[in-house]
Amino acid sequence: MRAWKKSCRKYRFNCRSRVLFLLPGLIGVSVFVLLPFLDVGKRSFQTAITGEFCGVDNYVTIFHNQAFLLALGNTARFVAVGLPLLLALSLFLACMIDRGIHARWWKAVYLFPMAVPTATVVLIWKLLFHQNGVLNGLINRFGGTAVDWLGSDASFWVLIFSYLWKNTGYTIVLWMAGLHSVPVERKEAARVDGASERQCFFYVVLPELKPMLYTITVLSFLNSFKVFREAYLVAGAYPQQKMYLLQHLFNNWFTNLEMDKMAAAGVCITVVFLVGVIVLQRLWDRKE
Amino acid sequence: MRTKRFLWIVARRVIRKIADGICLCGFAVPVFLPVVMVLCSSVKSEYELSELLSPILSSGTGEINWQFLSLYPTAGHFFQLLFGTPDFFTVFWNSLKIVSLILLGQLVIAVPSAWAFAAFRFRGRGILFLLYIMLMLLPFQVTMLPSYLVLNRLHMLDTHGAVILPAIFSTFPVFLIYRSFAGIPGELLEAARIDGAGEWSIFTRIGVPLGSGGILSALVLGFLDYWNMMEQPLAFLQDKTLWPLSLYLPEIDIRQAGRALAASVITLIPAAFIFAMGQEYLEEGIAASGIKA
Amino acid sequence: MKNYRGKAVKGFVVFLLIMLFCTFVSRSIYAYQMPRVETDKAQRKSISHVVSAEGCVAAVSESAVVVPAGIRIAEVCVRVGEKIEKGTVLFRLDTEYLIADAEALEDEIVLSEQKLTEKKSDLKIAEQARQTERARAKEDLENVTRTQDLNVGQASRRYELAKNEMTACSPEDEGRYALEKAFIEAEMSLQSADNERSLAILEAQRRVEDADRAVTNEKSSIMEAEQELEELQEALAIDQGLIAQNGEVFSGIDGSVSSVQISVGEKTTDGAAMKLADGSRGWVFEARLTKEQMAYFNPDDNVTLKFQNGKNAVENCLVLATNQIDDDNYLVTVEVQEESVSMGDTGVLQFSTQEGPYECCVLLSAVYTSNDSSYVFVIREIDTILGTELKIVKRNVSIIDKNDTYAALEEGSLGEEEQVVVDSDKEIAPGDTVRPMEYDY
Repeated sequence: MRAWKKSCRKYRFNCRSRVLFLLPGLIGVSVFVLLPFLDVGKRSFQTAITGEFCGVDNYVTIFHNQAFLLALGNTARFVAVGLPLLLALSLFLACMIDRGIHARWWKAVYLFPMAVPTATVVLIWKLLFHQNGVLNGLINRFGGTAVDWLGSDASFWVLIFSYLWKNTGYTIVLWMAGLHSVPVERKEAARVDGASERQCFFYVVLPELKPMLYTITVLSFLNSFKVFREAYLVAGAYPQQKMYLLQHLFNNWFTNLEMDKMAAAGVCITVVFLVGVIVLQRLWDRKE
Repeated sequence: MRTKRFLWIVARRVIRKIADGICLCGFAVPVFLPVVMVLCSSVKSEYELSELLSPILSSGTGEINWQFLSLYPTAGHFFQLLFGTPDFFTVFWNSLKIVSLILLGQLVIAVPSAWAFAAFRFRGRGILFLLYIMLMLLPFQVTMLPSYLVLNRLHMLDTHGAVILPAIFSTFPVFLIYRSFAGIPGELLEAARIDGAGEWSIFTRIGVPLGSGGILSALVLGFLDYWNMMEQPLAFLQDKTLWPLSLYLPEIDIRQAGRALAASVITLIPAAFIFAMGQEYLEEGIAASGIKA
Repeated sequence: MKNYRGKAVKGFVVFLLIMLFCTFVSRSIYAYQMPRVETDKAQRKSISHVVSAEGCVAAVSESAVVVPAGIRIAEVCVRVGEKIEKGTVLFRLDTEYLIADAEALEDEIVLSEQKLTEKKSDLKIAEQARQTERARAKEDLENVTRTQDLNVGQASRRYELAKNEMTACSPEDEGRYALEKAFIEAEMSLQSADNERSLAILEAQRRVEDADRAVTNEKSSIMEAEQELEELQEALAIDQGLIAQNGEVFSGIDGSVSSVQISVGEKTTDGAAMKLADGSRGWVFEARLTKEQMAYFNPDDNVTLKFQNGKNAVENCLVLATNQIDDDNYLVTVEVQEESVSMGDTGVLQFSTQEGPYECCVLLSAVYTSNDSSYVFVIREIDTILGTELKIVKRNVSIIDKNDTYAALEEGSLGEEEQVVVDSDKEIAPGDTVRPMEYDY
């Protein structure tokens, strides 16, 4: 009886102390992150200046808004192209590094771009991708025609390049960790069974990497938004069409105080993310 | 026959190794090139820099003539920056202060939160975590205005707190560290509980040491991220004396490219140090966070 | 691995220490090379101008001391500028010369008297001659008149006759022509007789006038001779007076000697031997002013005269006149009431005026002029990374008035609260960052 009571008290005490683990964070998050978000949700149903309730008008507006559609298209295209590219490239490189020597150095080289401050890089991007820049110089020297990287549709590829440049190392490390986590026995078993390297890879290793894939996808997705910084510093608030991302749009809406559109778009995006995350989780993440 | 096959295998291996090497080098070049360019440019003399940049600046028609080795290398830019511009140091120490306080705060707030998610079972855990992830994914611009208003109400605008506090409560480190805590076997914790250890001691004696990789990697990632943070200070800090390094660099006119480059290199150094110090942890942590929970 | 990490940590710490060091160094260099300035706001002030002009004391009126020429000076008793009173001996003439001169004069007088007498008798004779002449001329006139009248009468009768004959005859007659000719001749002879008459009468009248006039020359020459005699007699009187005074020449007025034209041992000349300034009428101060000084001058103001030699300054003197001497100079005459001054004292004319009040006045050291334009440096506060800093901005201004310490600027050149750089310890240029001057206490 007493032991039970004691364990009960301890249980309650533990419960209380457990709450303390999460509580401060929760409060902070609520104030600084959740509250603004809820405010955004509220605003999405209001007009910008007067604040009166206007139902789903804002949502309707944004879906007819040219800029929003453009930015949405661009961002979606960017993610659809960049993310798989990043994952594939880094997986490819991760395998090679894993096989070779000096793994640490290779990882350091590829990881380093993550440490480079954005503003530093921007100068070099300007140097490289300008109409008269180094890249065009090289192209010209090898007989090709110069491309206006920043001023034409090719700007999309500048974004992709920037994204890949920054995140490849990080993703490589993640993949390598995943590769190491594949139980060696499985691979051995497959090889004994007579599977070639490629078959081994595709049928044994890859499935094991699924949870890693989930994490990597989420993280890379998160990082894809950070590309906005470089784009903004290189090309300003109104860059070339193909470079115009959702964040540009938000930034400009903010400057023009068009809160209603911002709020509606923000809520839309969040819903999309939520759905995406849930789907991914169901597919790839083996949760307890 | 066997020998032939053996040779063939060896040959394939060698070829693969070479191919690997070429591939890796090939991809490494564009990766490392920008950094090298920054370093090289920072020692170019003023004259060379203006020549170099004139095709870009004045929309001239000439092509950029890039040379890796400067003809008249000079450390003048660095001297000018280090000894002649005290505002650089103001922003430098500002950045350092902001980032250290953020990381400290994250240690205090995010680590226990992640532990709570990983080690405790409670109702709504899944949904709450999902909520955390969702909040993590929000681009800053979406909540920029309401955050501004909240901070204004708290009278924190135009202080470093406006930048530090929201970052402390960011949910990203929670996500990362959760992953590494989740790797700790549950039985270990049960055993400890049965042994009569309190939650706090379980946390400090088992959780933290085992999850240290994840914690450190979150710190390193956090440092690299916040050392470059731009949007929040731009929006919330009006007083120029509070500005961090990341806002100082874009302010330098491209005509003073020498100073901008020198400042870039200096900005790079702490990040490089942290990187060097923490690469191991970074990898460990990333690995740990990646391993199936 | 651990080694590597340890080194990295150490390296980072070293880096931070270096940065700390550089922070201090850069801050101190920055502060050291920053110019320090002293600033001031624009004020509402009147600009006072003090004009000083040099000049000297002169006399209101001057009189000349004249003595006969050609006398040797025996002694000069006064100097220029010396104050004299009525009866002061100015100089002494050599009595011998005086006496000789007197004697010469006497001789001349005698001659002159003789001449006069002659002239008078001449006059009498001339008078008589004139009367005779006059009578004769008159007689002639009467004769001529009578003769001429007769001539004219004859001629006119002949004319009448011819005329009658002509008119009596009818135009167709043959003898008409001859009659006409005779008529014309008669007319002509009448006219000429008329003329002759006029001429003759005129001439006779003239002769009468001449006779009247003949005497005037004599009369005027007598008057001349009389005058000459008078002058000689006067000169003689002067000489005799001087002789009586022993050759000493006295001053007839109070005042001072303004100039001395003679020197000892030389002979006097025709001009003034000395000029005396009449002190009884008071003194004036004459000063030369330039055009710029005149710009500030208002004749209604009272001026101050300061003298050297320890004499008192005289205030509130009245300005009597201002004259322009040439393009750049003016002469200002000021009344001096002070007793202690004397002729020739040099001094300084001072007056001060206040222009204004001007709304916008700054210290003159704040204004810089190059070519034709002037500018000041104004402080502007700007927010930088280092806090609120002061930057220099150049502002073009135009000066409306200035003196030695202050300059008045056009209204509106400077804002009410704007600070102008008055002094700096280093050279400053627009765009410089500066900080306030510190003083050692």
